[in-house]
Amino acid sequence: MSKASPPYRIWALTTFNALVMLLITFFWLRLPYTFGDEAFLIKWTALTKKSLLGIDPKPNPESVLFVDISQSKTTLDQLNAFGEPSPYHRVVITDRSQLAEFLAMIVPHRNETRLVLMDVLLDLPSEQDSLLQAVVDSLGSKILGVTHVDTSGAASPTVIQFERQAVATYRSAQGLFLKYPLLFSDSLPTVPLMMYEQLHQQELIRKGGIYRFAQGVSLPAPIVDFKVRNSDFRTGRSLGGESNFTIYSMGDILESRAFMHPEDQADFFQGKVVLIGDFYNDVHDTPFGKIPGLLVIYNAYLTLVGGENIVSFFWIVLLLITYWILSWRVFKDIDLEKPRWLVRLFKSKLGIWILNTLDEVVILILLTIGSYFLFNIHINVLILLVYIKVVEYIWDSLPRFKSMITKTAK
Amino acid sequence: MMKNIALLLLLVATTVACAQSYYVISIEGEIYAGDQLLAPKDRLTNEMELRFIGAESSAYLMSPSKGYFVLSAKEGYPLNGKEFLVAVKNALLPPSELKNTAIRALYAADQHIVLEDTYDMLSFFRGRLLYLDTLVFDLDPEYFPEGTTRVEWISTNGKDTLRRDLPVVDRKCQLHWPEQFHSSTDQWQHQVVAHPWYGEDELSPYTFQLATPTAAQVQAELQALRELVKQNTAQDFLLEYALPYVRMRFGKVHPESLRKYL
Repeated sequence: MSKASPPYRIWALTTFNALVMLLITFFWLRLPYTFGDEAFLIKWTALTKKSLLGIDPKPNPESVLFVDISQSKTTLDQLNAFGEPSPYHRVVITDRSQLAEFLAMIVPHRNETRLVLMDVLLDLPSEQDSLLQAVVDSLGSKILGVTHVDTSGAASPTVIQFERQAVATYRSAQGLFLKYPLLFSDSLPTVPLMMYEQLHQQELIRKGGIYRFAQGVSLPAPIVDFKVRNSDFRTGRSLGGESNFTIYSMGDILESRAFMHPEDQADFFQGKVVLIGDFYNDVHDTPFGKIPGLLVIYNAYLTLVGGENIVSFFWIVLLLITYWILSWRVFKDIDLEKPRWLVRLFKSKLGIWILNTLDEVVILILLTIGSYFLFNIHINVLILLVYIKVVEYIWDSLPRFKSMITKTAK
Repeated sequence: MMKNIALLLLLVATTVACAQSYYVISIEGEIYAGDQLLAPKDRLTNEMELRFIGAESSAYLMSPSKGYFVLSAKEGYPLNGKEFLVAVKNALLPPSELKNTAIRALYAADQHIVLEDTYDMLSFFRGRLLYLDTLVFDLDPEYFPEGTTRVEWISTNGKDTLRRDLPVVDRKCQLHWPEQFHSSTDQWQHQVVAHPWYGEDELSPYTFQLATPTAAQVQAELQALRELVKQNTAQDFLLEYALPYVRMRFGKVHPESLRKYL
């Protein structure tokens, strides 16, 4: 008569496996990008929550001013092959004198404006640079400039110097935007982070690879929850309290100086975060379609404001419980009973394998839905599915080990 | 008569919200704020009550803090709140997009110049216009009804002034500039005035000039251009090369006028 195996062995194995899955989750969430295949789940869980269930909190439209510069362009002569300035070689850049004029409108309202983000890469010198630099200096720390990361991984220098400047670069797999890292390459602060730190008096502390704010541990690269999307920009139909997200053309605002009362001009900027960028040419593929880069940055910032980057204790508990159930199922060879009609459809070996995999797929999908609906955090289910199937395969391939862990009294 | 009927459709629209300013960007129809007919760049405040004359009247407003608004006498249609259903529809039936392969998309050559109102007329008859054997434009029958519209063409070279009415037949109005003036060294300046609107709205017509190259000259230049760009399709050549070239070289032109030179 063989001795019954204490149950704690399988519990320990299950717990250990659940912890490994938790580590995989954190490792994958830590990456600055993710699989584009996850976009399907991210998009539809978000749309279900936001559009179907109406759980779609948004910031006040009057807290932000979107300024489009797509029609405020000019050309810059470049050097030809001989190194000579040539009118036959030109690049299109944002008109810096118009930018300077617009920023000059903000200067008198500097104290009432919360922040100005100029999402314009100013890397090529032009004749109007001194004009623009003077106005940027007047705004001081109220204006946040951007730069990009070059192929060497360093921040590209810009011809206009900002007191505060951040990186407006993210990594993507398959050309799809999903995540905005707080620090690019763990060192260069990105625009959403600097906006959040400045507007909410927060500071990101990075120690031992762990990112932390005052509220708690943070994911280094949270998947952005798009609170403000293209469909939120609309023209109002009735006056009397309604506010709308609107993109104002910079040219229109500049022209309004000719007829608008000064106190009304102040309404453009007072109490607002002013976001300046190209809404029509700088567009990015996201699970919600093509979205302007500046809106991607704004939503990444809103993700931080909503605390959706903070790792909650209860969120960890949810993950751990689910991973424990998944692992227990694998180690105890528990298969959920499936309808006969479904079993009849999957008769081949591959078919049976797929059918058995559905259990894990369903559980993981339910987990990511629950994680998103309760904690606003998407998790990567694909990699976890691959992992758990590998564990199951190894478990089934080691009958002796399996027997040692699970042997029971007869 | 039309206006009297329209007045019967008087509607009180709204009172502008408290402590907010709105600026008029554009208006269709007639809208009064108090006794004042609204015009672009007018400022609306909370004391004002708007009256829409006619069911089609609408105003496009801008608020520096609240965004853009359309106020219409018609019942407003629901706001777009069906993002989920739109996403489902787009997933099942992906929308197709038109992709232009030219840098600037030109209007299709089968659209000809239709002047919808006096502002269109002001905008068109300004600067240089290419004159081939005749210059034809369509007048919108709603704004320029045939019985009551009178279009006057005034030409002057500083010494002589010619004034004649242009007949409106089947919505079309035709300018015919005599050949004896084509090669004249005098600088003729022209104006087109639509009665009664110009007088009623106190509009001052702009001046335009007629460029009068010979048909042979235009044809030769377009053929040379076509050989240069090696564009085989007449339609594509017209849109991508001929039209921009002629506009730059001679002035505004009715696209259909160029087709016979291709």
